[in-house]
Amino acid sequence: MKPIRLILTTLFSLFLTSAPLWAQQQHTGPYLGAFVGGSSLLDSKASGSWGSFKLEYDAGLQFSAVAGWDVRPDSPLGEGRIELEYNHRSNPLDQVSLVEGSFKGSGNLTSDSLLLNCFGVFHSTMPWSPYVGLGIGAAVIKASGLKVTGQPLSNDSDVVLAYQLGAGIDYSLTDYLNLDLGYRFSGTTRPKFSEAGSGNEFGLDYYSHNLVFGVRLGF
Amino acid sequence: MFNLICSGLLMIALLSGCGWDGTPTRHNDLSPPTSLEIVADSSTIAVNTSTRLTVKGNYSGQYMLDITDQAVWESKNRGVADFSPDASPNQVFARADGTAILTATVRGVSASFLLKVSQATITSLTVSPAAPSIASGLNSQFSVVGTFLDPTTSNVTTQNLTDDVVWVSSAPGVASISNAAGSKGRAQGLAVGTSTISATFGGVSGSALLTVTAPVAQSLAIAPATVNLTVGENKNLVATATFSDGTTQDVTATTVWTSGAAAIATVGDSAADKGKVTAVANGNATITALYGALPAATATVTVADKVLESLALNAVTHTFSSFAEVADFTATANYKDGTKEDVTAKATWTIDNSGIAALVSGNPGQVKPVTSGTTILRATYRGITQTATLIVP
Repeated sequence: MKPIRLILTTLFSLFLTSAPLWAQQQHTGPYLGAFVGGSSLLDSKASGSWGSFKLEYDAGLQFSAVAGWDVRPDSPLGEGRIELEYNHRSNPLDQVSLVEGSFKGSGNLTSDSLLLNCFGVFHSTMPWSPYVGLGIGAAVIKASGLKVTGQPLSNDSDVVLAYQLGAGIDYSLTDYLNLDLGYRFSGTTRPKFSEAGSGNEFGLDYYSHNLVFGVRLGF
Repeated sequence: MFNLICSGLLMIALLSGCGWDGTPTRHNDLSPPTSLEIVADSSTIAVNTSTRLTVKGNYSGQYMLDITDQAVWESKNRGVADFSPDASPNQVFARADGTAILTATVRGVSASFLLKVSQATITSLTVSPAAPSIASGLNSQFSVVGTFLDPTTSNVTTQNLTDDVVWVSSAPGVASISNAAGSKGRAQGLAVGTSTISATFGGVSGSALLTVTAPVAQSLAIAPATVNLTVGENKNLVATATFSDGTTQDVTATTVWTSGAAAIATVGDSAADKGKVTAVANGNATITALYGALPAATATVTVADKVLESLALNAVTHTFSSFAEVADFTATANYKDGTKEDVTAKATWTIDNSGIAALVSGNPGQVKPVTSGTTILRATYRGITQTATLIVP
């Protein structure tokens, strides 16, 4: 089992075994937060009128800022968080695979997204609380100077529907200050870019695994 | 519920793969070639003839790729040989004897080719194939090779002149032949018969005899392709063959018909009932038609049960005359389409009080008395129940 799968499975198991005990004072109301982390963009199929080819990426950095509301325990939705998240991630293009083989790529595929997230939190008597959730919104995917063996591939952008599924662990330092270690699976509908030179259009898949660490401050 | 939904979605994410692992179908036309190689059918051609050039890109010695369609062509000696905007971009025409430097450029990379134009004169033409036969509606590509004699060197050479000759069909109603760029020498059969296909260049001709035969079947289809029937109904299917000349013909009577599930639907294959589908039982069946060597055509038959309207027993009351008597009941299904069916053997039979009368094992509908009294006999078929009163004196 890959390390990331192991971590995620552990997180999920913790969620399944956690009991909804409300032994400690929980924050309700607004909060702000900031996250940093790593992003692993999955190998993507790019296709257009000339056929299909594969883009492979290096891991990249990401950061996000959130503004949200801790939902009260007696809410009909259950206890959790609703938040608005701005996220930026960028992954360098590593290789491009065509019929003749793999070729060195360069440039970055970046994403700037605005998502509405909902997280269900499972508090326990421990200071940490597992959570799971999802988000949906829009993203601007930008092909920033993508090149193949130094030759321009695309320098274009597209606005697409974006979503994410996530899980993680909150660690309460105080009633108002939490650390957050989480995983996010992000995806979008296929962005379409025009090729440099020919102007031919091609679309590609955009899915990523992300590990994030951040802090949230309640008010 | 909210947490449950989230958990499910999370599991989907966990099970997601690691990206696309398919096989690319796009060639690397993104990187420029490191060098080009020009190849010609003939490096020496005669005046007033042409030849086609191709360009292969060398990508750092890793692979070669035909990139003729990306090349921009130029002649440095246009009086000797030149390209024409009215022809294929890679077709070069010899204007006068001499040597021409031809260049091809792809994405900033160029290569040159020396084309010699000789004073050789045509001596004969050989058209091939010499005596082809095609079915009406189909095509046949002719080519022609010219034999040349160079008067200055006495060398005899040959050259493909398919693009340079004038093609003529002696019987245009039987076969046509194209002189259009890109399809020169392509004949099409129009009607049964023969035609002499001639190629002429520089006053010299060559010919071939083209025989056009009757059109041949190209594809087979069944109509209708999907059929919905209820048990007992039937439907005639029609097999239609499409021929090479575009005509169609009903070939139902000469097609071999088979059913993939005869227990659900049968199809007739005798002279009297070719293609006749009969619904037997609830389900789906694929009907296959075979005609000659053509790929099989299929139709899907969906059979539904008849709509049962009511169930009737042959008697509503039966009084046994003695303990030795065995009563025979029959159950009849009345369908919505007006048909009836004896379902005695298919119905489920029960008796409310088996201490008064009992079913005879192995004989559906048969009842025997046990002791004095009155009870009810029930017959159930496809959800409908009918009853009869049993009286044992």
